[in-house]
Amino acid sequence: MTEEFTEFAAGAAARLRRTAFLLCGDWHTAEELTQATLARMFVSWRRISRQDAVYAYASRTLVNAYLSDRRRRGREMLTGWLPETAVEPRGCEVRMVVLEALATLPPKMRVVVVMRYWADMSVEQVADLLGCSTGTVKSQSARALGKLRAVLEQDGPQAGLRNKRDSRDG
Amino acid sequence: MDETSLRALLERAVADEPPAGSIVDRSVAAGLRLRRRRRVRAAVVFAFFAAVIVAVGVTVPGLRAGSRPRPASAAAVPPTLWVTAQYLGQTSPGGAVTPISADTGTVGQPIVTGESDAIISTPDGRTVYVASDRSGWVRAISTVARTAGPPIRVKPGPVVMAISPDGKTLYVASVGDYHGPGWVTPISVATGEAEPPIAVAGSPTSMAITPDGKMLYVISTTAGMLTPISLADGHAEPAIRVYGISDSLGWMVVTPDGKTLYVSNFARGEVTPITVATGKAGPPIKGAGPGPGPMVITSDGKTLYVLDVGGPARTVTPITVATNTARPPITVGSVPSALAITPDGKTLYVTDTVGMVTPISVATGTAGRPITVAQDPDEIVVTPDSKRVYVLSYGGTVTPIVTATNTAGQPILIADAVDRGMVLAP
Repeated sequence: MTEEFTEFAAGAAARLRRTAFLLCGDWHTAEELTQATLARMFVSWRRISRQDAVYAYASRTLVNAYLSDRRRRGREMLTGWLPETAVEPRGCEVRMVVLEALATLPPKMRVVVVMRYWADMSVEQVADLLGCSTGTVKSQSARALGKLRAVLEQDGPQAGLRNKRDSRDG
Repeated sequence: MDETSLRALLERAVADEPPAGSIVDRSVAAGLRLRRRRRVRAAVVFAFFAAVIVAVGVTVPGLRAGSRPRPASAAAVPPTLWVTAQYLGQTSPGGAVTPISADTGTVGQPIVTGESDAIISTPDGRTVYVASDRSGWVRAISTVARTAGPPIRVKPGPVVMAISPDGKTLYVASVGDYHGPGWVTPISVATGEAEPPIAVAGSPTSMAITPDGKMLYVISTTAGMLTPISLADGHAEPAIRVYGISDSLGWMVVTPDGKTLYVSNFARGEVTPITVATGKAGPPIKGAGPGPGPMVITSDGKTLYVLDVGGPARTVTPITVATNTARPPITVGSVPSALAITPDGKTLYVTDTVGMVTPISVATGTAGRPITVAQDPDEIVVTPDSKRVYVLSYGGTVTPIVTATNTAGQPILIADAVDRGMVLAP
């Protein structure tokens, strides 16, 4: 059983860790969340492994771990508006801008954004994940896009979009 | 920014990922520890219940959910906060509604309802309704008997509720299947019977009822439409188009005299006044920040306060209702999320996601010292006597604030749960 689980975990860990990073905003916590997710899956692996949707189960467990973690430790402290653009290399700058923008979203809305636009889950899958209707996922997505647009297109955050255009233009 | 741009930005945010530790090995080790702990805990619980059964005998209490509410007594209902919560720590989260005494802060026994989101109280506080977005039902909870009634089926995806000022009818707005129309289902408070649903444009996100109970307004996010419904005959009138609200968050407030409805337009950075008598939208009001969001109005109807939730300024802007003009904004907090005004009209409270509440004197327009509360507050209610404010934070922590001193009391924690909504009844 452990061998089968190890094989699954080795294949899933990297993506789970990146998803967790976009949810929580730092790599250290992302690693903790990934580990907590995999540990819970290990405990129930005999039951889970018989299901078709093992990855969906992993996503659900990760999201629950994130929401639970947010409850326990509170969200990352927001420090006013967005970072100065000149102090960091461009890759870091974009990351900071995106993470700061994501941090302005309520936890569930952040889950909707990350699972839809990063994890490529369908509206139905995200609805199932969060226990809400597809209509709610769609309206939450629309609200999140509106809010992220408002945040990212203000002053400093434009850097994120400018850099994207810069790199595309070569 | 569109969906493609967002995907690209998210990809770039994880591009320079630092090397991971040995996650798999550590997960297996943690899993083994977790499994051992669960076995020990299960054995202890079994031993405890076995002892209880042997000692006193046990009658297993029936699930609260599903039992019919008992008739309410004539006694006054003590002010109680009702919090809908989703329980974590399991892969199929359950839901319950937890009562908290607004006088003592004592947490009562949760009433199992199944997953529920929106919550609302009748004006007399005797019945609280919860709606399950996912399951498509509404349940009535008797606040006296503390039991949940059976699910009342409504159109799929009930997301928001409103109650007529006379407390006789509950209106439940559902998003439907999202592609078709939205729906508003009237439900008789006395009988629990659902009446035929009323179709509205697009997917509803918020509702407001005029104080005289004659008109109900529904904002539809997907269609950018505001649908007026005449409550006398349940007839939906031609929708009012308010450009920009399709991308907006849909906040509305009606003046106490019922003459004007204000809609905050997050996407366009304006507030739209609508004359109730004619159904006509007036010139949009600018100057309430780049992302106008939640609004409150003073009980004398003279000033509307608009919280900006979309820009770096973090402001509350007073708007003079008589002239529909914005006054100088008041800077507040870091990332404000919600606001409330005391019924005596003296103080405005603004919650901030970093875990604070800022009191603002209505008389002087000055912000006071921020009050620390649990992080991620997203609901705020004020008792009718204006003496206390309760703030619900993400994670199910309720922080009481004494308005006389603007000091926070001991936070009240609701089990291992995340909040969905809170209402004060009566």
